Amino acid sequence: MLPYASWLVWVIPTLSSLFVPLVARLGGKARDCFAVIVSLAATVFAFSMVPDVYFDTLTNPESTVPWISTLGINAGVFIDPLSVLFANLIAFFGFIIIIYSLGYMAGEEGLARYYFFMLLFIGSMIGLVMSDNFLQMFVFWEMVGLCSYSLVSFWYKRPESVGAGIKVFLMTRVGDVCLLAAIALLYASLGTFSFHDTIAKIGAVPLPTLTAVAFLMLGGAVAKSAQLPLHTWLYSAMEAPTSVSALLHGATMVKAGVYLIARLFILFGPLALSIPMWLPSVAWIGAITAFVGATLAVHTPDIKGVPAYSTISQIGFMMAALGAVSPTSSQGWFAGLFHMLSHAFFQGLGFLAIGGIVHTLGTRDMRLMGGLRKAMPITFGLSIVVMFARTGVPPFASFFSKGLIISSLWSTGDVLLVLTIYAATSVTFAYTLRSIILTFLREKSDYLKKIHLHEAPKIMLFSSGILAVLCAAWGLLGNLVAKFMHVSVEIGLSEVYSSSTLIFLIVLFLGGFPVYLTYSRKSVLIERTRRTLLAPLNTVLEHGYFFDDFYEKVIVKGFGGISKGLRRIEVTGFGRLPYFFAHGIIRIANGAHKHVENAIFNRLPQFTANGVISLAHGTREYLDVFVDEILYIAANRTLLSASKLRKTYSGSLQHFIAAALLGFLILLILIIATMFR
Amino acid sequence: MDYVILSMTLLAIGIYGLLTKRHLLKVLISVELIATAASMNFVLLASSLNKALGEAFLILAFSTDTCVTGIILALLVIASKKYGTCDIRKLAKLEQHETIEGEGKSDSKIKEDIV
Amino acid sequence: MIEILDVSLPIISFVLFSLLTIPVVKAMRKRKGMKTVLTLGWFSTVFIIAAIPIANLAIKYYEHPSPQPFLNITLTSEPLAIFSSTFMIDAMSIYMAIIFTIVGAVTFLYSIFYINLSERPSERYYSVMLIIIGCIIGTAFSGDLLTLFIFWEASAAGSSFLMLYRKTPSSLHATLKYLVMIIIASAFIVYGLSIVYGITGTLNFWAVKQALIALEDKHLLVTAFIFIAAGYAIEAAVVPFHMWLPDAYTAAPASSSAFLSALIDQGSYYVLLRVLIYILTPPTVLEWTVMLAVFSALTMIVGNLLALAQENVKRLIANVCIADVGYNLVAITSVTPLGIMGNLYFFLIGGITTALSFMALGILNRMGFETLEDFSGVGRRMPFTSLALLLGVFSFAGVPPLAGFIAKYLVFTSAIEANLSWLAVIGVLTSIIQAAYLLRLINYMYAKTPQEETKIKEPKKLLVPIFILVAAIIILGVYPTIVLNLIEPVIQQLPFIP
Repeated sequence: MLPYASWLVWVIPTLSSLFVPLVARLGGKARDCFAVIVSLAATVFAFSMVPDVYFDTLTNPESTVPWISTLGINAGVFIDPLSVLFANLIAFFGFIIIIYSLGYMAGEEGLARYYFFMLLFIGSMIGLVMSDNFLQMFVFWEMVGLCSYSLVSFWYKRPESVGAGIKVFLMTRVGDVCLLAAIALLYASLGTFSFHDTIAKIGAVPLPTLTAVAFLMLGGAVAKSAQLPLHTWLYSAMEAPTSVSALLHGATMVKAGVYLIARLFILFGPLALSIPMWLPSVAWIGAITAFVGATLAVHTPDIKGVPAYSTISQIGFMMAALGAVSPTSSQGWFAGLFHMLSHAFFQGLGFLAIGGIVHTLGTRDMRLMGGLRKAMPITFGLSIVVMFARTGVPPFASFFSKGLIISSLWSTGDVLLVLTIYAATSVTFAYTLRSIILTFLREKSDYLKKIHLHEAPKIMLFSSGILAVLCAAWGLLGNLVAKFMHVSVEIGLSEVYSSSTLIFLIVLFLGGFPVYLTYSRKSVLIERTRRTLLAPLNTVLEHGYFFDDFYEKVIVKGFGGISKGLRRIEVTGFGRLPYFFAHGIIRIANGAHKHVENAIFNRLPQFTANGVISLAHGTREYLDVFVDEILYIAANRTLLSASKLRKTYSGSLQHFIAAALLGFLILLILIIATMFR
Repeated sequence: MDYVILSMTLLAIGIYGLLTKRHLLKVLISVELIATAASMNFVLLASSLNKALGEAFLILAFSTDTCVTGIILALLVIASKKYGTCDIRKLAKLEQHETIEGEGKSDSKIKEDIV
Repeated sequence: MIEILDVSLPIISFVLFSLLTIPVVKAMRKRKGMKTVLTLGWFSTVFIIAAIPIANLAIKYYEHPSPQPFLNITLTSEPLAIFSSTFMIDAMSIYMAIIFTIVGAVTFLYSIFYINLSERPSERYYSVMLIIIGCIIGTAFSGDLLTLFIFWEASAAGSSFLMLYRKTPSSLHATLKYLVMIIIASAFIVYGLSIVYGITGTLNFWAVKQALIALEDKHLLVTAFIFIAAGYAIEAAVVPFHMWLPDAYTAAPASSSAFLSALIDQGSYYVLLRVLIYILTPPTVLEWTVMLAVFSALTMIVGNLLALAQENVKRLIANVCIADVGYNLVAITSVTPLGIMGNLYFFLIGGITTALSFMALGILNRMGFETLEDFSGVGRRMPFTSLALLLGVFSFAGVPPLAGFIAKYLVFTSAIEANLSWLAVIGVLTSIIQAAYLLRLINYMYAKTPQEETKIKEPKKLLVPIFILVAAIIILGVYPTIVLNLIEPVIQQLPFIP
């Protein structure tokens, strides 16, 4: 290990990101070189930690410096197989993507900003996985979110990009809040943030608290890793430049959730198995997401939508595997992480290939493409590699990882779970095949005939080549990785010839054949079925299972409604209600005005009915009726003239005093309720 | 006990006045009534304790009250001189038209100095 | 040994300088050139000279750590001591004095550039500002309820001049409402204090507390508590006593809003904290935690929801101030060392962040941008101001690594520690709402297309104090130990808190 490698690996990219704007003053070349050198340095430092972990020669896995000394919180790094594995993946992947960006982003505006955020993104993600305590982890967790927000809306002049950025930020923030709550709960019961102390003391946490913590952390992971039902941000994030998408999917951001869940198994130890319903929840969320994500990918016309939904689905596979940990073996844990690695490679490659296509064609709509095979042969080859790797054709990497996942799911004994995963696998092949047929194989479209087609720039192909080799060869290194992770899992290469492989291939065929018939053969029968019988399904898929509609209509509108109602109350109700209250009291004290009395007794039934209705509907119109009703009861000319106040933007003095008196009354009631029990 | 009832009554009258009166001067009188009620209570309890601290407090509290009253009086003068009304509701209505004429104008003038 | 002079010197120097400021500024106005430099020179001298006695006091206090949690210092010697005002020095009052001076200096710098020097009554504006800083430091040092009341009322009433500066109808109306609310509050407080005095026969913090612990029948005390709590709640703008705040802060000039939100707002929380925690300590004296928890929940919810509905950005930030009161109350409610620590940290961060936002808004309002609609595309037209506002807004929303995160984190953790998890849950949920409307603001600023594309020249002088505060929230977010070390002794002095 190089000296201080575990610190420098994240400090270097994080701090040097600050110098990007300065270096950019020297010129474009200097800026590019700087970014490449920094990411290379991070990779070297990350890799230097590998031998120590592999041979288990580390004497001191932790090192800390005081951070918030008053609360006894230290900043530190935690070296174990998990963190080093992730650090290497992120650093290496970041390096590849930076090289790719040299070609892909060339000539864009605001490149200093781009490289600044890219380096910060890489640095804070490595910082996240190397942290030795929850607080530090959370800070980096948020920084990762901020960086992705800024990078997704990189083309800030396009309103869609900015909207997508805000959506990413808000939806992942739900998860952040869950995570923060979990950390606070854990701190409240343990009095420490440090991983080391947590491992030592975790037995002392009562099971209900532990359950709450585990589920809240799962919530954090679900939002960050785009699992159901918080998956919709990932598709919106496709507004980002393709290189950013590749980094976001391959190594950073979405992988943070997987890391968190994997880390929890280490922190909780055997206790993780005793939390009621937790493991099945993880597995089922994963499995359902895997299936739903895959079906969404079948339908999308957007070429970047395919890998987006694919990532959602593949992370579902990983979660399912992580949830399949059993008391006797950690095979599921390893399977999830191993699949994470292979996913990083093939998904990264997929994005790089697509990036080339989008770069050349200038559109993302697959319906406009077709027949690119001849024009872009290398990209076609890469896409075929992606297809094999993604679906898991032996001997590509994900064949082994998916095999491991399925066998570990078998060991949980939940057949339904295994079937869901098989179905997801089948659909995976279907959507990948569909995208290849639409893009490369069918007739050249009219749109393409007008454009001059050419292969992507050399420097972009270089990065893709490295990833393609890794995709193909990675599976053979499985045993080495298992040894590195100190897990006793044996990946037999002979498994290729077993019966499970046959089942796997049959499943793939089941998914691929209808697609082949539909898109390549144009089978009339299938087409007609699709049009008629499956029409409702089509609608559902078109709307992405209505998740976005739900969020838009119910949550956003709902909050808007509530707040608008409140504003009305502020302008009218807050003013009038206490006003009415004060007047009422004075009137009654003055000796009961007949008028008011009449009004109350005559109008009371109607008022009650209206009140109930208005509460039931809760709409603004009824709120108005409600307020007007109150007004009517007061039946006071001055009050009626005060309805002109509706338009003033600040209340009158009397309203303030009345509100304060109301508060005084609440105070009195609360005191009586709480102090004189 | 009588004095407590008296001070409570004063307080109630003051709050009633604040809630109903629209003229600034009447608002001011109501405010004074509230302050007097509180002070009266203080004197009452201080005299029953036979310690001088209560009276000392009262003198100081009175002085702050007087200051605030002075400020409100000043506001009253400004309101009647500048806007020709002492009615708080009318003042509230003036507010709506003012953003364009009032602050906006003086701000655009200052803008030149600042930049 | 700390003498009475050491304690009163900071207050005296501020008041003295505020009196001197009027002739000095008037004299400067008559000069032709070098106006700005001379003014800056004069006011930096004022702050440096006033800061020296505070530093001296802090050094003296920490030099000889005393066994008592605080030092009582009376104005006169023994026989007359009961009549005199009492000062009390402990780590908390020193902390508050330091942050009041520093934040006050930065906001003052902004006002020097914001309020036009050559305008006629501007010298009074500066003078009032200085006197308020002096009074509020006096509030921090006071050792009995009388002194606390006097100093606090003086600074609260004095701040009305700052709101009124432009004399527009809206500011006139808002100031009037503010003053009437303040005087009602003070009447309530005097009413409550009279009962406390009747029960205990003294007003000194420590003596009152001891007498109240020994008290058996608490009915009268509860009556007193209702009046005192309502009074201070009006001044601290707890919902539903809050209604004066949005009006007042919206109608005031931006520099006043910044100053008020940074000093008067934080000062009012401080007074609340002092009275509730140090005198009416639960559970030995009075158990008020549940009641306050309800109010804090109400404040957080209503404050944030009202902010969500605002179209005027300045009013939006004013509503954020109300929500901040709610978060502060959460920490007071928990009555744990962590909570007090979070509270004191929140005082500073909340003050800095709201001041920062109001300052940035001041520049934007000058250029005629008021509502969200006006803010469309401002991010591209005025990049620096918008960046400052953006960072301030992120700090509000509690995004690490900005300082708002640590502050909110301490507050919520303390609530969980005190078995008030439901309060923490409400706090976290309202924080999400907060993120939503603040992002809406950002969306307008950066995503919408502006009506015209031309860049606007930003006033560089005004940006200096703004970026000082921006630097502060970033540094305190990454390395909060700087301030937490100052707060640490305060926590050590809370033996009466479990």
